[in-house]
Amino acid sequence: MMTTAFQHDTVPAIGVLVLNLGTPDTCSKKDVKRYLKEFLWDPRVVEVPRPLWWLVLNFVILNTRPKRSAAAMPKFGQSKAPPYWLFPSCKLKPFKRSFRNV
Amino acid sequence: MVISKLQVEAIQAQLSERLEVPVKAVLAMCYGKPSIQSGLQQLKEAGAQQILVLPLYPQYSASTTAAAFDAIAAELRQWRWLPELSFVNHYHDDGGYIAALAQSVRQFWSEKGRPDKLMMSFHGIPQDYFDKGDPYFCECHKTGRLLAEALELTDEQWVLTFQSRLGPKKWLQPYTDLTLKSLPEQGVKHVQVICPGFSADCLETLEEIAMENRDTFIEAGGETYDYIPCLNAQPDHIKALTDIVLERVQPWVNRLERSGTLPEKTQVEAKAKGAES
Repeated sequence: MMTTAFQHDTVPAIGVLVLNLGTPDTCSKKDVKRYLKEFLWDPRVVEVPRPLWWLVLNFVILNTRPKRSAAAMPKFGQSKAPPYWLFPSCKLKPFKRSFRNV
Repeated sequence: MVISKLQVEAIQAQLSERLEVPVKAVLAMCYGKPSIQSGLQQLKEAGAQQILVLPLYPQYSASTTAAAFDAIAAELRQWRWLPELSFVNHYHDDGGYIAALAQSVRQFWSEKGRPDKLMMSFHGIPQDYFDKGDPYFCECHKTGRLLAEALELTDEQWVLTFQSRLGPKKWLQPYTDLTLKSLPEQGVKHVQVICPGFSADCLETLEEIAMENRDTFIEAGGETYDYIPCLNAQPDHIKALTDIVLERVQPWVNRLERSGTLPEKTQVEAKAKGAES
């Protein structure tokens, strides 16, 4: 179904759509999982044959990563959009240090 | 996310100030919220019949920039009346962007001093993406070279690396962590790391680069490890991004200024032919 068109009497404007990668809605395991699934299922991001990747993503990654990642998120709060934050070979261990130079 | 919102608000403010025609800038995320769908809908409601898409990925990669394009296309497949579109593929060699990076490094030097080596660390991608033709590696190197030139660095004073590899496959090299490990034995005791590919600080830059890699470097015998923050909402970054937008939308601005709003004649004719509004 097509969405509503512009109105003929609309005053034309110029639009700028600024894009970045994104972040889960909250730190909860559920939201992190949903976000990771969307991100990692994108064939542009992971170029692995779909059937194989479906198995790895759903049975391995989404069963282990969200919990650890969700645990790491509150350290940074919602303010730090984390592009690629799954991809780092991050151990997402408990953070012992403060941000001395950040 | 807060940083991204600040960036867009600042870009909007500059555009409104510098353009005579109505202009609306909105933020959207490729994954999660606010979605690309909601961003495009917002622009439609604002009457934007010309839309410039600006992914905040300075270096093009299929895994980021092209993924953004796919998401736009998926939403626009649902629209009957398409807007005119322009898409910023990359701005890795943009003068304003390079100058903003250089300025942020100089500013950092004025507070912390100059390092033995400046490390420019970019997010990695699997080596086979590059082998298949992704220009990301080359664009990162061009950014690096231009930044080094702007800072008048000799070859020994900087190094370009790739971070965050995952899995068993080969990724772009040299790797950030292994390089950091090897630097102290080469006599580099003070390193400063900047991530020019990130337009805003995020979990990866803060956790992996600012913290984990510090441990790697110090454990290998390094003495001082500094992380130079991303450009975030710094004024010269916002100006660089706004300039990129203005350059791209200028033909649209010219056209709108020539025609004013939609000519009444067009509306009358359209209604005469049966349009309802």
